Formats: sequence, C-alpha cells, structure tokens
Amino acid sequence: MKFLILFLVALVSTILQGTVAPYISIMGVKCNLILAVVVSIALVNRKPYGSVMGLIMGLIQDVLFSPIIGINALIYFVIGYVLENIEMHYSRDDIYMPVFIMALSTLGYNLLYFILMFFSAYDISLLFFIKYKLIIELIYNTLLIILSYKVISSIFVAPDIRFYRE
Amino acid sequence: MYFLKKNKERIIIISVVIILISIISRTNVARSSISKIEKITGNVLSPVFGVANKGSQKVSGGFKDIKNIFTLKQRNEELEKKVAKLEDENRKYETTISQTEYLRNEYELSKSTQYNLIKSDVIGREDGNWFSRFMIDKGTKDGVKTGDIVVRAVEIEQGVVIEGLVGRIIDVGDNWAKVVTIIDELSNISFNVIRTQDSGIVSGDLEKELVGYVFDDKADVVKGDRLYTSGLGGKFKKGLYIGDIEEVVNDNEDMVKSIKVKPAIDFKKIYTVYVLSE
Repeated sequence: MKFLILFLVALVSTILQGTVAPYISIMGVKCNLILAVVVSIALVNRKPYGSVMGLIMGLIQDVLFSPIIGINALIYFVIGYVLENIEMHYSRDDIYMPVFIMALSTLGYNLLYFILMFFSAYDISLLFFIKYKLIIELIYNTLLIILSYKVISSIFVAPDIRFYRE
Repeated sequence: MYFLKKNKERIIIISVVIILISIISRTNVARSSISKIEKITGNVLSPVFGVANKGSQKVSGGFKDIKNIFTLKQRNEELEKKVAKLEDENRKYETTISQTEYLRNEYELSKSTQYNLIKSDVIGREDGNWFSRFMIDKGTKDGVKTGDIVVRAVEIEQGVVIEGLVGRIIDVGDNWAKVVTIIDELSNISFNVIRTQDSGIVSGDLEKELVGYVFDDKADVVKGDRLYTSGLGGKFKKGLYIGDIEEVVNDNEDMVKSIKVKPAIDFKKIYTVYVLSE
C-alpha cells in the first residue's frame, strides 16, 4: 500500500511539474516541486525512501524533457540519500527545519546541475543564473516545501503515541 | 563475504551513482534515435501530459476571470469604446481583404511549398530554469523525424505570411517529440541578412534571447534588418525567418560586430507549431 501511494506521489508530482509549474512561474522562474517532494519524503520517511523516490522521479523527468538522461536522477538521488542519513533532532510540527533544509537543497541542486552540465561540455553562465534566478527560486521553493511537507507528513505519519521507553 | 555484507549499502549507493554517470555520458552524445525504455515511458505518459496541460491552461484562465470581477464596470466602458474603434478599423480591413489577388498568390506559394507541414500541439514544457524546450504531440507515427525543423506562421507584413523558425526536433517517440527552441543554449544558427547578404551566427543564451555576430566587421547591418537562415551547416533549411536585429554593437577589440536579435516568435505563448518534413 505504501509503495502504491509513493508511486502515485511520484507520478502526480512529475506531471504537475511538467504541466502546471510553467503556468505559475514567478518572473519566469519555475518552482521545483520534485525537489520539494524528495526533501519531504526523505525527512518524513527516512531510509531508503528519499533516495529511491529521487531516483525514480528524476528518471521520469529526464526521459521526458532532458536531452541527457540521468542528470536530474543523479542529483535527486544524492540529495535524497544525504538527507535520509543525516541525524536531525527536531519536532515534527517544526516547519523551520524543513524550510532551512529546502533552501540548502535548492542551492545544492543548482550547484550540482551546473557542475554536471559543465562537465557535459555545455557552456552556461552561472553568474547570470545566480544574479537573476537563484534568489527567486529559493524563495519560491521554500514556500513550496511548507505545503509539500505538510501534505507528505499527513499522508505518511501515523499518530505517534507510545507508552514505553525507547 | 564479510566485507560485502558489512558494506552492502555503500556498494549499492556507489554502483547506482556509477550507473547514472555512465548513462549521462552515454546519452550526452548526439543520438540518432532514443532507446526503447524512453520510448515506452513517453508513449504512456504523453497523453496524460496532454490532458493535464489543457487542464492547467483552463485553471490559469479561471484565475484571471476571478481577478477581473472587480474591474468589470470600468472594463465594460473601455470595451464599448474599443468596439466602436474596431468597427471602424474593420471597415478598413475589409477593403484590404478585397485586394485578395496579391494575398492569394502568397497562399498559392505556400501551398506549392516543397515542405510538408505537420500541425502539432505543445503538450509540455521543460521544467528546469536552465533550458528552453518543449514536447509536442506528434511522433514517428505522423512522420516526424529527429532533426526536423519546427516552424510557426509569422506575418511579416500585412498579408505576407512566412515560416518563422521555432526550433529543431532532437528526440522522437511514437506519439511525442522533444523540441529544442532557437533561444536554447544548444542552438547555433547560421543566418543571412537579406538586405545586404551579410552572414553570421546567432545562438540562444540563458537570458532567453538571441545573440550573435556578423562575420564581416565592416558589414552594413542596422537595427531592424531581417535575418533568415542561410542553410550553412545543413541543420536548418535555407530561407526560414529568424527575427529582427534589435541592437548592433561594434566591438573593435574582437574585430566582430555583435548583434542582439528579437526572435520572430514569442516563445512564452507557443501552443501550436508546424513540423517541416519533405
């Protein structure tokens, strides 16, 4: 059952990213829903869901849109793996931690994307991207993670009541 | 064996990363066709994308309607004025329409064009912020091939309609295809200025603009000159309209004349395109 839900989440978010995101872009910058979902799942479900979901959604995205297969898959996989393995202590209702992590992930995503593209012999200007797009994308994505974290944690987290010591 | 068991997770992670990197390097070269897995995924998902895209177009239209409620009355007055003006203009246009002979010639020309135009809808857009690409709903079943050129009809003068260059197809599935637009980083186009017969190269950049240079630094190109593809290099066919020169910069140090080009097509508002095939 959990796998079915996860698969549906992957499919729906990829489709939304490909079709709805261009229509709600702010100043020409699109939000990254897939990254938000990967981060939320890695934070909520921990091992090994973050990395596997990142791999699957990245592959779908690459096959459909990118001329080079595997770049997004690799980045989401790495981000998911790192996040699901970091020890973090924070309350589940605390929203600041996911927001902070999402900001870091957005930076990491764009940096990795630039590096991979650079070594695939694409000449792209990082400075322009940082100057005009990165800040807007950061703000947009951090707003998005609040929504996606709430939804994902309400889907996957059972009421956490325990009467014994760990 | 103990080593394998102890480091099972690390081995899995490292092998996944290595596999992905090898896929990246394998797919980074120009491919003549796409793999079977890509084809199947695309075939299954592209109808879903078509529906979702239509839906989101409707939804974003709906939001606009809601916004407009507050300004309805004012808008009504504006529109009435506009209708009167338009009726006046309409009369003028009707006289133009009566000059159909000239236009009909153009139409005949476009009918006798050597190209076969395949009409297709845009069903999805590249989701990153780095590139400018989209997906269309026609594929090998409709006769679309890799490397085919994608155009739109552009009216350059009143009644003169020609093919405006949109981009090039890089991957084809059974019922879908990926298009790289000319304002993408990947595109380099060799052009011709019709007025002076000067030639040069333009390419897209991250700012979603066309920039380039003229080979001859003493060339007499000015703002407003029309650029057409020259057919050099063989990727783009000759005589397709690219856009107008927006700015000419004399760069004496580099001994080239840089230009900035306004594309003929508004790439934010592409909904239908035509694929050229012989």
